[in-house]
Amino acid sequence: MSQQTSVYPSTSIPAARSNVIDGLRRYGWLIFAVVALMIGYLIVWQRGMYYDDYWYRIGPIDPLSQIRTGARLLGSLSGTILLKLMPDNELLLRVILAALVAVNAALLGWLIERLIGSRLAAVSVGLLYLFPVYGSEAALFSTAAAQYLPMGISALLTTHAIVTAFRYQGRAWLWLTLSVIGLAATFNFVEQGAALVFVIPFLALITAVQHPEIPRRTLILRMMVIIFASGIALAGFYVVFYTNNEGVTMMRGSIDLDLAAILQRADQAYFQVFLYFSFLTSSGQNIFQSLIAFSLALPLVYGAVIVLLVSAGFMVIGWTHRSLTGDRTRVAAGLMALTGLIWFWATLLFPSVLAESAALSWRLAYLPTAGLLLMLAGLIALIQSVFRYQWIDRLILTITSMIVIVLIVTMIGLERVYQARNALDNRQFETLVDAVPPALMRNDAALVPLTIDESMVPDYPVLNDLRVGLFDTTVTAINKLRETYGWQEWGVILAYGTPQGAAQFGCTTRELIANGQVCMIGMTDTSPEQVVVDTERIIAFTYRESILFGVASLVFIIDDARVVISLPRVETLRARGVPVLEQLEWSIPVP
Amino acid sequence: MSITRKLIILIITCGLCGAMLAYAQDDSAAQVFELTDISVIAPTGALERASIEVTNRSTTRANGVIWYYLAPVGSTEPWLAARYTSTEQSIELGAGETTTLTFDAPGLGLIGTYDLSFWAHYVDPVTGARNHSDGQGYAMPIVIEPPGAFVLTPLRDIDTDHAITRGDARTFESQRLKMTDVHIMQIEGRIASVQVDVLNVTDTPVDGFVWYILAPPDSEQPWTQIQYIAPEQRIVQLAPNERTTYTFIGGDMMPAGRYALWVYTSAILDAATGERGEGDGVAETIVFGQALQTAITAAEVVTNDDGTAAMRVRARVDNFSGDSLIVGMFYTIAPPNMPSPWRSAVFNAPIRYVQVGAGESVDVAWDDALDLPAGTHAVTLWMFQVDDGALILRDRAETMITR
Repeated sequence: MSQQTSVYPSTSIPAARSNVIDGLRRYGWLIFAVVALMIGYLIVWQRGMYYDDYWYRIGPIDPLSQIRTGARLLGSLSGTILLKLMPDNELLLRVILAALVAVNAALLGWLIERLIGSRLAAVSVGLLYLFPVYGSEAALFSTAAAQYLPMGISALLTTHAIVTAFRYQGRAWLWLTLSVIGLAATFNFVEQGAALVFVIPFLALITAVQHPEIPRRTLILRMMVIIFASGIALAGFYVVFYTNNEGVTMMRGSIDLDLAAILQRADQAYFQVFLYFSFLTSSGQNIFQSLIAFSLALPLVYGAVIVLLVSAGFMVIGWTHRSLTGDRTRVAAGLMALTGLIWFWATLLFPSVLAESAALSWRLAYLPTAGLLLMLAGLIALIQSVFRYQWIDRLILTITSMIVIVLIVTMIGLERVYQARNALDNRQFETLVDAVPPALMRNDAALVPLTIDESMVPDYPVLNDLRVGLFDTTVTAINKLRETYGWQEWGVILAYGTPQGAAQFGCTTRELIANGQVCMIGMTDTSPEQVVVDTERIIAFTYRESILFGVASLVFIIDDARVVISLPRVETLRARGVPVLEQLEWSIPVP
Repeated sequence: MSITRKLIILIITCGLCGAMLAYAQDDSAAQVFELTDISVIAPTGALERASIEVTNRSTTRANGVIWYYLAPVGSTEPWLAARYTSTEQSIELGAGETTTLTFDAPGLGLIGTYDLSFWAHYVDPVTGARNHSDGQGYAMPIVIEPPGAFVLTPLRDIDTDHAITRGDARTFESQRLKMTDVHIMQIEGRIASVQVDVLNVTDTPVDGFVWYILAPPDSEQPWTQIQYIAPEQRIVQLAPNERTTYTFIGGDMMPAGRYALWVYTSAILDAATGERGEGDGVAETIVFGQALQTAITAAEVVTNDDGTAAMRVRARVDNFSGDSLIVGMFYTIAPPNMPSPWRSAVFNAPIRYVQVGAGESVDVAWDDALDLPAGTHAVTLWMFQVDDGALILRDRAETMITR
């Protein structure tokens, strides 16, 4: 009996395997980046709305009013357009925002490649810029992301345009014009983009080092054209939109050019705050440890980390070494490190540090992070040019990918904080709406939230301070109330500045109380102001122990005397079966 | 009367009757939604959810709102007497369509036994005006109580350390023995140990005693109001400037409450007569029993100026813990020795919530219109801690009143 055997033609298998390996070699970093992006931003994509999201989703924002009353025309437009996707198309919004993050990372990497020709530095830094933990608001807080990510794109495209303008052979008017328009546009997304003007001379220096064939005179001339033209454009914007702008003055204060005051603000409002949250302090370490622990409390994250480790392994193993040589490259790398440092400080501090009410919000750290990463890219290129071994490349990539994985875990922790904040906001709001039917929430009501419990992550208390609550941001609550109760006109007063409650009744006097009134800082629609309210109109409430309580009476301590004020409208809530706390006590400072 | 005139009168009469009938039939709002079949889900005897079947009896699609009231048992006008009004649910039903709506039990606003009634309003699609459509009551009284609320779980501070450091300097001129440090340790509300460091502040050896007493917390002369006295420990020939530690282990469990623990030391001035010098005393407030306690301070039936009767109850809640807490309190009046008096109560008072700061006490008052039937009644006060959306029964107190 003969035995028949057949051999399946296998010649294509090694070829296919070879193609896959070749693909991994070329695009291993890209695969890692895509996997990282999806895991980092889409595992916890259901985070709902937060803070200004309600304003941009619901608020009456129109471009004309932006032009008339404030700046950030482009930022408001992008914010309004993207926030319309909430809450029905949240996944689409998250995908778009993740894509914008990726575009920024790609533009930063490409800039590094163009400036010093280091693919290793470009890929490493690009990967790190996918997860800007310090500037996380710019990626995770929808309203901020909808403005700061396009601003980042505008800033980085402008930087590319400037570099092209410097290198362009022949008349570079188009690129010069695009550079100036780009700077103005970046400023119009978010003001800090204007600080890139400080970086222009350093970009010119790097170009001069890398391209000695470009005449110095041409470079200087083009640099001056961009600086002066964009300076005039930015000054024009400032004069037209910012001077005498009550909204901006209310939020940021007036411009204060006193050098000592500027330095003090730079130190206290930025450097100290940055330090507080950094790994260098116990507070920062505590926050990051809690974020990582909170993230790892989600079992899915362990699986994600394994997937990331595998794809990072492919990237590192498949990486092809390419040497950086030449003194010019080293000088350019050093200059880029310096440029990054200037970029970081300039965009972190300016122009906010010039305003009296300077404050660091974490979205403001997004563009400066690109500066820090430019500095890092310069250092990587320097190392690469000195130690020309493949294992150095792989070591740097390994370290980078490990840092990226830690950053992803941290970002997921932050995303869970946003998620927890949204859940608590919803619980607080739903209990209020359940307790106060539309018939009671009449247009003459004065809503007074009192010492709301904002504990959203009980197991990690340090994280509770990272995000602000619905009733801590009056304009947010107003917009949510307006949508829920279907008001066209806003007549309800909402007490402002609720967390500790001590200051909000500070303007109350014995005479007012005798007249059945109190004075509080309240908000009717736009800006907070002192309002005198009949106590009959007040619906005071608090949210504690996961329950909304009406507050039946307020006790003011004035001149050591206790004055009890009953709130009849809250008694109506009690009659409906709403839990009512008998009284809460405030001490009013005697002037 | 001509036949024509009769016909005219007949036609007019019929027309009037028809119009009246049509008017009677046209009570469109009243006829739109019909409420039937109330279902109550109460696996533990207390309401968890209730559902109602709603049918659109009109010939067109209609909008409306449905809600329920909980009113005292026997209320004939529950919309006036309601102690709880649920959140409204909106409905939109086609002609002849039926749907079932489910409502949750009320939150923490009330406890007790109530009549349940559902109500439907038809909403006019043009004007938005609401008109009464139907009402339906449940046949049996409904028990309302938060899940697990009546399991007594006292709040205890498991371990409490009290440390008093006083320095070495004499407290008074003729002093021979000085207490420099006192350390009181309580475990589960009991005194585990009292350690007293005594220093001889003279140049000669000193004999003496050290002891402690428990007295009311605000007593100015505690030695006249001793509630407990620990066995004295003898100090024998304590050398000049020498310090020795005396330890009292354990102690009687006292009735729950706040006490002043006074520690004393006194030198023996004359060994022959046993005459003692002036004592050096130091006090610390300590708490026996649970950290959250309540007591009825007054419970009586009073007659108002208008001759109506009212129930006057006063209570106090003491928070001996280190945290500010929110507590809810209510009282029931029921026949004595009822196992679940809030379910068989003659009266359940409305629940009152107060915030009690760490170490503070708060008084709570009720003045409820109530004509109590003759006989002996148990007034039971219930005190709950509000903890993460739940009520935890921390303490109860009871007193009898006879009418």
